[in-house]
Amino acid sequence: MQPQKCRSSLWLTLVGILVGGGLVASSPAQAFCGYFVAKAGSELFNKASRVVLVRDEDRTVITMANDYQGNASEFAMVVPVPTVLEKSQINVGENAWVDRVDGFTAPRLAEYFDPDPCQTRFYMERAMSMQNAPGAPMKKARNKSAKSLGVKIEATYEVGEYDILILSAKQSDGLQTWLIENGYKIPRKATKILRSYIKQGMKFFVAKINIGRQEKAGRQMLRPLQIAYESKRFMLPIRLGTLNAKGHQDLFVYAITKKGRVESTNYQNTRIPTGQEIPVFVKKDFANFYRAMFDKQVEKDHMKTVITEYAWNMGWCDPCAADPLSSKELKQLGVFWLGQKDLSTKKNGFGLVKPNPRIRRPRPGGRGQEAFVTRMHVRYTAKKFPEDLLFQVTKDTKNFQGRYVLRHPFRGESKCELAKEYKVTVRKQQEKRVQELANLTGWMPADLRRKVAWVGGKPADNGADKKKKKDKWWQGIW
Amino acid sequence: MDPRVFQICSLSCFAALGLGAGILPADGFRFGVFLGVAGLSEWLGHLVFKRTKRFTLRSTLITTLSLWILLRVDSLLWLCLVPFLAIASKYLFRYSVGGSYKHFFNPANFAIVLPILLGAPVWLSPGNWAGNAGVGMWFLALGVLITLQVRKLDTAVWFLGLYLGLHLVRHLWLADPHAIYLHKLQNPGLILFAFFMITDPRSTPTTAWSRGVFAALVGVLSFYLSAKNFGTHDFFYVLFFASMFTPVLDVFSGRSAFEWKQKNLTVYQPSLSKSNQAV
Repeated sequence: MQPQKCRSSLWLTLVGILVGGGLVASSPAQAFCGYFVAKAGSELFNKASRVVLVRDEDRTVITMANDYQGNASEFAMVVPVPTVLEKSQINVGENAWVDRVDGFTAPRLAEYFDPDPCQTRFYMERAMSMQNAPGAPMKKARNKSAKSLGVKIEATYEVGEYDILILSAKQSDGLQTWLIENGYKIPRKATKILRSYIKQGMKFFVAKINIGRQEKAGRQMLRPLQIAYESKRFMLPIRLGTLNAKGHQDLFVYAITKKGRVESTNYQNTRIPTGQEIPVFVKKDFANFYRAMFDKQVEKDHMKTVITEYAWNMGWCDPCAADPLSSKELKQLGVFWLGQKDLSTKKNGFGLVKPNPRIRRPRPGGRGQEAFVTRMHVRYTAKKFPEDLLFQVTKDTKNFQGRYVLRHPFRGESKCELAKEYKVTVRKQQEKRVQELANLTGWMPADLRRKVAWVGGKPADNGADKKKKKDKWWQGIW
Repeated sequence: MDPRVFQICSLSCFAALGLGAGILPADGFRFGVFLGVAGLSEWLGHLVFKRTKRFTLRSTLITTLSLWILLRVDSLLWLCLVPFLAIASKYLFRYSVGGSYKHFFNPANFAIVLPILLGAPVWLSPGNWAGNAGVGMWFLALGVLITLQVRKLDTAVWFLGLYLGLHLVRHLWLADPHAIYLHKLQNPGLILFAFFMITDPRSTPTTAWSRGVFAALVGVLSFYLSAKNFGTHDFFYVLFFASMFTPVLDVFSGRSAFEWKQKNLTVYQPSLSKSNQAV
């Protein structure tokens, strides 16, 4: 490959920009607590990367999914890795696998319907208890050049439509020159970061698309790359990815472990607000609601935290945004500890067992899988997240989910005494939910009030006027 | 004033800072159980072993606060076992120096590391205190240093000097942006470890030089492990294993055990009365 003929540009992000994948149309399924109506998947966020991290002891399997929209010939990816990888440690997965774990862990919207107040006396008690409900990369010449530059090509592999190079280097200048000579465009700022990684003993995993093989396979989308390695370092390199970025980036980390929740050890961990009852009209606009709420949370945390959106055993869900991942699906993502007893049977890309196709259905309080998933959402810039992400596996098996609740008031005809009381209570709750939604999203309460279908008709005195009166202490004295 | 009273105040401020910034969870139940079980264990230990004349909960409170800030537990059994192990370690792992008994594990360190090594459902959750909380944390540490005077916190100075010093040398060698180094400093576990754990005079060697050697070794080894494995709280494990060598260092230095009260100290080793009133 002649350098001058190469037009590929080094795409310096850990994984991708612009994560895609459409929102899977799900028919509402009744679950233990309410009807699942919508989810807020990673597709809502632009410039988002998705990484599935499977970890147990010192073993890690990383699936890096991206939705690179440009010309495949211009795609390249450089990832610092702790060890030299053999061919059998690299695999090409499918975007659908990542979509599955994204769908399962997505923040969700559930809805409830109030019964006729005249037929139940327990509305208030139930409403109160529900408010407290849990939230739910070759040739000889190239090798020669590499050697003179202090870059050692540890290995070259052809995996699927990808050409993979495993590089180790002594000098960052050498590595950078080699990469440039081989057709990668490297920003100047990268030298310092590459130097730092080289000194830390990191190797470089370089992946490029082999257009011939890709066309032969008739593929359009870039498939995710999977790597498996053993190292005490439980980390995700994000520094190189911040170089070409304009503005902030979103990163979704789906960590699957045997023991429990995963959290960052070098950044503060927070959780997305959950369990709130929100006005019913949000049902049509759940995506905007979730984006606004996430933006508000990031602003509140000064964009310095790793936000946990979901932490749950893979065995069940409540309510389910998607069915729990089957053993087969988990193994595709590299969950190596499942079914290790049957190693003599069919093997997948990692030399692991083809799993039992039995799909676990959602079961409230059902038996747990030996897999615990944590969904972390990180919005980052080089300034706010200067260091690579470091993680730890905790023994925390408490379930957590981003879950929001819609409560449809009873709108039928009721003539008993309780019905009057019910209407007053529901109107108060509708106002309370407007305030809560405004607090969560930063939206204007007056705009929200206009969208509410008030029980008993629109309030005579506009809610915004009411607020004005409250704002001035002297109003209402005389 | 007993330096432990000052330590209790400092740790309370630390906890308040974490709570105020919304970093530490307002988990009163965990604190209650930790304090209750630790207090009861202390009392039982006092009755059975009769180590001191007067019963005091000062050390217990320091241990409880440290555990509450640093350790998360996902089991009621271990919620009770952790504070019990902390106090029990003081009575079970001790040795006699110069006619006085001395324990060689810091109780909070022991109760954090042993359950983790045993695979119990506990985990360290120091994370990172960014922004004002991170700055406040260092001001607090600086306050402790000034108030108690540097010589009384010699182990903290030796440990921090070597641990942070070596990290700074590595950082300059890597030529990383300074933001990365400053980011590493925002580790609340590091502050708590340096000022409230390795400074425990009852579980570190008695003489100034042996304490210096001890803290320096912990600092160097902790630095090596964190640079190798990218860990953020290896020092807890290093201290746990290093503590087992405290008796050896004491035997070599041939000094008596530290006593919190100067009065008692003068009985055993009058010459140490000035330098050893440490925290």
